[in-house]
Order: sequence, then C-alpha cells, then structure tokens
Amino acid sequence: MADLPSTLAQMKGRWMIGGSAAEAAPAPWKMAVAGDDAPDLAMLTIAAQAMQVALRPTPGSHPDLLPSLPHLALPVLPDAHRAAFRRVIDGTRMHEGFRDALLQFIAGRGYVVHPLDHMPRDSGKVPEVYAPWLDWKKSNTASPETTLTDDNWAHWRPADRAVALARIRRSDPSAARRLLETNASDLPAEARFRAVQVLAEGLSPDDADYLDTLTKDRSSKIQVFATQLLSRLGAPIESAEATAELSDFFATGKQGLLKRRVTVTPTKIKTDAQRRRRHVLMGQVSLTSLSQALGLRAEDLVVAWGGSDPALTQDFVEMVALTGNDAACGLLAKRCDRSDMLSPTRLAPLAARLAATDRKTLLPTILKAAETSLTGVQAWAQGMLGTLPAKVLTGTDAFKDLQTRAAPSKDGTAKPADPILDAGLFTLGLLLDRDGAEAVRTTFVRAGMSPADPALTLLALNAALTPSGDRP
Amino acid sequence: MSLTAEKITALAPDQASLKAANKLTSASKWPVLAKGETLVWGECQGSGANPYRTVFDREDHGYKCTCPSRKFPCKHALALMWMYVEDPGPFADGAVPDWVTDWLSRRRPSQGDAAPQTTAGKSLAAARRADPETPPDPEAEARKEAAAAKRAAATQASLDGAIGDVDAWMQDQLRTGFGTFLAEAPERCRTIAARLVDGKAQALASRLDELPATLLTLKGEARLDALIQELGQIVLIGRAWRSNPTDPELHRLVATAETRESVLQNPEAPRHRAVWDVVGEQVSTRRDGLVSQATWLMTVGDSAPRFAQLLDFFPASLGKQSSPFIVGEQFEAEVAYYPARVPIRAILAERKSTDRRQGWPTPDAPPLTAYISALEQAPWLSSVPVLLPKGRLGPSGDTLWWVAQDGDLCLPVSNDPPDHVAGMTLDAAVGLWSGREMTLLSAQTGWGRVTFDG
Repeated sequence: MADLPSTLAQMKGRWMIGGSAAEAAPAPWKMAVAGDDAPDLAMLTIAAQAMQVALRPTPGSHPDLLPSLPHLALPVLPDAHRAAFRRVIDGTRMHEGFRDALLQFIAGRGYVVHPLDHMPRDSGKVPEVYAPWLDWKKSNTASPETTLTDDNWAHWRPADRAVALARIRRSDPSAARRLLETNASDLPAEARFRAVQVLAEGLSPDDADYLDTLTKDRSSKIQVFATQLLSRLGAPIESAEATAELSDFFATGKQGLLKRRVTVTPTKIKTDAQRRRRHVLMGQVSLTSLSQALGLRAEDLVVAWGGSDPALTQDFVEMVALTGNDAACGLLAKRCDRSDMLSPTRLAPLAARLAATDRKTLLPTILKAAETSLTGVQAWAQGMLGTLPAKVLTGTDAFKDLQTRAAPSKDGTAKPADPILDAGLFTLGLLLDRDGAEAVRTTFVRAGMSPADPALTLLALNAALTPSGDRP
Repeated sequence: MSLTAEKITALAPDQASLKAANKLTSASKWPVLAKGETLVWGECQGSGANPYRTVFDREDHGYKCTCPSRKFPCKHALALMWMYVEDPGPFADGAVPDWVTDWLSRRRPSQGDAAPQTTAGKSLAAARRADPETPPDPEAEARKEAAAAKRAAATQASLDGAIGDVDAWMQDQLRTGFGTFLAEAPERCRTIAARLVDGKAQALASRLDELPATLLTLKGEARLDALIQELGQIVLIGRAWRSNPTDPELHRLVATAETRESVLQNPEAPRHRAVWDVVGEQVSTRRDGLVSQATWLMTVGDSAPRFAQLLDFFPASLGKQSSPFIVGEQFEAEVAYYPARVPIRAILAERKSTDRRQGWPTPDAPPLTAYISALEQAPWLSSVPVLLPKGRLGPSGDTLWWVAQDGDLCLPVSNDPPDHVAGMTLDAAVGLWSGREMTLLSAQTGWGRVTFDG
C-alpha cells in the first residue's frame, strides 16, 4: 500500500457521492472483508482505523512560535493570594479603572499579577512594570535590557520606550528631551504621541522651543498636546478673537465689604447654541489667556471662579488641568468641598497634575469632601494605594455611611445588594495599609457583614499581602 | 444565629431527607470535614464518580452541595449540619478552599433563612430510628431472580435488534452518500438515536445523537474524516458486542454503565492506588438534556503516568454545578476502574489528602505510543489521554498546533487558549488525542499550571 492518503481519498470520494468504495480499496483490505455479510461496513471500519492510526495531520507550514512572554521586574503574586485576586478582579468587570487601580495597589506591594489570572490592557494607566507585556502583546517582541540611547532607540518597543523615557525625564529632563528631538520624528503617530507625553512631567521653559516644533507636528493629537504644554508655560495658544468671545461669557465683580474679593461668574445664557459655543471655546482657550482677558492672573481666576453650572465647572476644571500651571492646579484642588460643583470626583482630572506630596497634603480635604462615596478619592491617592492608615479614613462621613449600609436590617430581612457599599469597601481595600485593612475588615464584620462576604475580599487580600521585599 | 438540631429539622424539605441524611452522618463517609470562621465544609462520596462537596454557613445557614439533588437542602447538606451540631470535634480548622470561596462569590445572602421553615411532620429522632427488618422470603427472592433473568434476556434481544437497526441505517448512509448525510446529519442522527433508545442501546444512541454537533465544529475535509472515524467505530462496537454480548466494556459502550456499587464489588475491576493530580475537567451539555462532567486524573511521581476519568451525568435543568475538584489538586486515592481492555473510566474507591506535592512523571516514550498501543487493544476508543513532553503552541494557517521542542512532532490543537499562552513553554502537557486533533487539558509551564478549556 504505497500511498494510503490517495487510496483513502478515492474511497472517501466514493462514499461522499454514495455507493461502495470496495473498488478503490487496496487488495489486502478487499481480502479482509471477503465473505463478510456487510463488506461495505467492514471496509468503513478498516478505513476509519487506518485514518486514526496510520495518518496524522501535518501543518501547511511550520507553526509560528512566538518569543517567550517576558518575566517582569517584580515577582508574581504568591500562589496563596492568587485565588483572592481572581475573585476581586472578577468583581471589577464593570469598570476598567478599578482594574488599573487594583494593579497599581498590587505593584505598590511589590508584585505583578499572574498572566493567567489577568493580562492587563493598555489603558494608559497600567503600572509601568507591565510595559514588557503590553509590548509583547502588540508585537510579540521584547525590548533590549539596556539604557535607552540614540543608538538603540529603534530597538525598543513603544510601551517599554515610554517607560524608559519617563525614567530619564525624572532624573534628567533635558536628556529625555534631547532623545525625543533626535529620534521621535521617525516614529509612527501613535508611538510618537506616547513618547512625547513624557514632556508633561518636569515641564520647564527649556522645553518651549521643542514644544514649538511639535505644534507643527503632522499629528493633530500631538499639536494639541504641545499647545497645552506651552500654555502651561504661559504662552497664548489660541486666537485673540476666541479668547475675547469666551471672556464675554463671564462677568467679573467684587464681593465683601472689607476685603472686596474678586468674583467671576458666567453671564446668563439665552440659547442652547450659546451654551454649545461656550463649551467649544472652553476647550480651545487656555487658562492664561482667559484670565488675561478678564484682567486677572491665572491663580486669581481659579480662586474667583464661581457659578452653579456643573457642566461649565467641569469644562473649567479640564481647562485648568490641561493648560493651567502647577500653582493653578493646586489652588483649584484646594477648593474641593462637598458641593456638587467641586467634589473630589469632579476635580479628579487635576489629581494627575499634582505631585504625590501635594496630593498627600490635600488628602484630608478630599476625604472630608467625599461625603457619601470614596470612589472619587482613588484618583487622589495614586502612588499612595495600600499605604493609608485606618485613622485617616475611619473618621470620614463616607466611612460612617458605609458602616450604616453594612448593618443588618432592623426587621431581620435580607438586604438587597448594595453597589455603593461594595464599591466603598473595594476602595477602602485599595487605599488602606495592611493593619488598616484588617482593622476595617473586622469593623465591618462586627457591623453585621459575613466575614466571607465577597465585598470584603480585597480588604482580606490587602491585610494578608506582605510586601514582596519583606518576604523571607 | 447559631445552628441547632431544631433549625436543621426546620430546614429539611421533608422527613425522607432527614432519614437519608441520617445514613450519611458517619465520619467514615466524609473523607474531608473542616471548618473556618463561619463556614463548615466537607466532601462526601455519593453515588457519582466524583465526590460531592458540601458547605454551609453557621451564621445564616446558607448551604451548597455539588450533588444533583432537587431537594434543598439535600441530604448531604443536612448530614453535614447534623454532624457538626452533634460533635464539631472531627471538623479540622482549615483555610477556606477555592471551591468554597467560589460559592461565596456567587451566593445570595441568607439563602438558608429564605427556605420555608417548619418542623411539622419532621423529626431527627424519628430519622435516626432504624427501619424494622423484614425476614427474608425465599419465594419472593426466587421470583425476583426469575424476573431479573427474564428482563436480561429481553434486554439482550432488544439490544440485538438495535444493533441490527444501526447496521441497516449505516448501510443506508453509505448508499445515499455522506455528502447528503452531512447536509442532513441532525435529522438523520436524531431518528436513529430515538430508535436505539427504544432498543435500550442508550450509549450508542447518545454517541450518534452527539455526532452532528461534533461535525459542526469541524471544517472541510476534517468533517468527513471525523464522520468516517465515528461511524467506523460504531460499526466496530456493534460487531464486537455481537461476538461477546456479556463483555462488560462492550455492554457499557452499547447500553449503560454499571453502577458504582457493582464496580466496587467486582473483583475483576482493576484498582490502582497512587497520588493523583487533577489534570483537567470537561463539562458539556448533551442533546439529551444531560450534562456530562468528566474529571481527568493522572498519577504523579517517578513511574509512568496512568490516567483515570471520573465521569458523572446530571440533568442540565439543575443549572451550573460546581467543579468537584480544582485542577492542580493532588490527593492519594485508590481508584477502581470500570473493567475494560484499556481501563480509563473509574471511580474513587478511597481517598485521602496528601501533604507533599509531587511532580508530573517524565514521558519515557514518544507521545503517541500510548495512543497506538491503546487502539491496538480497544480500537473503538475515540480519544486517549497522553502526556506530552516539552513543547510550544503556535499557529499555522487558522489552526493552533502543539510543537514538540525537538520539532519532530506537530499536533493540531482543538482548544482556543488566550494568546499569551503561546508565549509560554509547555514543560509538559496532558491532552486527549483523537487521531485527528489534541484537546489539551492542562500543562506545566514556568508560570505555573495552565488549564485549557475543553
């Protein structure tokens, strides 16, 4: 039987159209079924056995074998905690931001997650330590394990390069800028944007010339970004007409008998078209330009800002976050209060502009303002996840509200699921240090929750997760 | 609220449940009994191949059992509560296992208190009273044996007719052509499967009933190849059964499997005591409304690997059942195999936990040798578990392939794992090879255990 595959192909052809395949069968098979009551069925069993045993599928071309998934700079979460992590991550399906915060908390303790438990998506907020995985997912290649230089620039993958650039920018801002000036223009638009984003950190007047060239970049995204950074340095970024038009939407005045405090309030809008136009202009005009048009310094405008239009205030917060200098951002953040206008959630865009030390100083104000929800506090606690002592949080109204929600119902009936309680406990699990997490978990169990309640899983994981550097 | 005997009585759906629970209140029936902060859990070897895992909450009396009972709470949950209330001593303090936490993450609050609770007509004391023994009646026994012999003869005749039916049907398919068959597979298979069920050939019926769904997952020529292999094996099983109708393996392939008790009592059922590693689980819903749950075990240590499949069925209407084991779990057990030329299907005869984890065995022969050898003895096997040596996964065309590290062997893989698994070296892998494709169950990698969805 020199060519079994072609013999079988002929037999299969006969069977496809119907009828006996005996004629196409090899002589030994015909002899084997001779005298059988049902020779066609016997032939079918022989062919089936031959296909199962004597033939094996082969690939058309050799399979593409990918490079190995790189190991990361931090150890993988210990096996003992992986099940708890999986339960927590499954519970955060509804919100990508929660997942990123959870990864930041775990990285803060000195671990990365197991790739089979969770493979992070490139959301832009994933901890830097995952950059090799993000690059591997995109291109299945790894970056060289050396310092980023002009010579090896092209060999780096985008996420890894952004991380390496950010490190250089933190220690030597000019060196990072010089690397960008020499090499960034050769990158594709998305990778170029990712690379130049490092300029936001450590921004100084030394960057102005390079930012000027970026305002003429072929990517409009980079043009806008460079313009925003220039505006933080005090440069006007828009036409005088737009600034004048926007300033007409506001009125300045004085308030108070002795101190005569300056106030800026929106003028009354008559039509929706005006409202839409004002929204567009708020996205185009910088804080510096608007304040100058109103005859104020940028910091004065932030202090004087008033009004009761939530959408307009949101536009203003974003204007300050994108185009305001560090002092303006800090001043606006300090105005955080319990009002809907300046709640921690509404002011969250400012958090990324503030240094960790400034955010830490502001945290008591933010926590005091977080009346019923701790969710908005997360953005302000970046870099401090898993480090806050219980006493910082247990005195807040939001914490007391969670305790009330956790208490059993007075009539003994089962309480329905409470998403605010679940989200609040998740946030506490992210924020607290180990001792705090254990103390808070105990508090809620005493308040009536089952120790096995899934909402307490992150607190339990937090309490049990020893920092990787402390492990024997 | 603490659990009391009265509360258990109130929770029980009826007196019969309490009576059944009473028979399970012996610690010997529970290889695992443990407790945590508020939870109590245990594992009870019931009538299935896999043990039932039962847990309850001491505080709110919520409970869960992996058994397929439609009574809530089932006898296992009642027995566990009962044993705990009477004497918590045998319940060791332990860390809450994964299967318990899985339940916790899905449970509704206060499940136990939501059940109708009354003690009317129910009593633990009455459940404990032994049933009065009836004296043996020789005449009744003889009548029973005669009736059983008559039933066996009728079943034999019925099965013979069913095999004849399937042969005739198969010849029809060959005559009209597989091209037409592939276009009408669901209707044609459904018709013959119904006739086989009438003829008491349930196993063959189920195999033919599942065939269209299997074919639909395949493309192009692979579909025709799978059809020829499956029909060829069915013909082979029928012929083998006719030549030896009392063979237990062939009876199982044509009609039904033996009960757990008969396997345990059968001196010819091979047994093997070893430390076993749970290497995979396959759960599928069949067209007949049953869910098939297969747990795959492999021996660990230095000797050549042996495999065992714990197979259970339960009605799909019961909803998703928790897995009886966690993949990667190891335990010491004696398994009793259903008698077969290549013993694979088994039940757990005895089990105990093991403290020391052992590594997987090292394959000492080419990976498909075990497959060829198994088919020489039992040519009707549709797939055989194999231990693969070091290799990687990689795509070629639209198929994923397992590639041996030495590059000598490439096998098509039916699973669709996450992309990043292709970035891991599989130091060893366990899969089911069908002659056409490999269904991977799990693998050892530098990142730990990888479990594949079947």
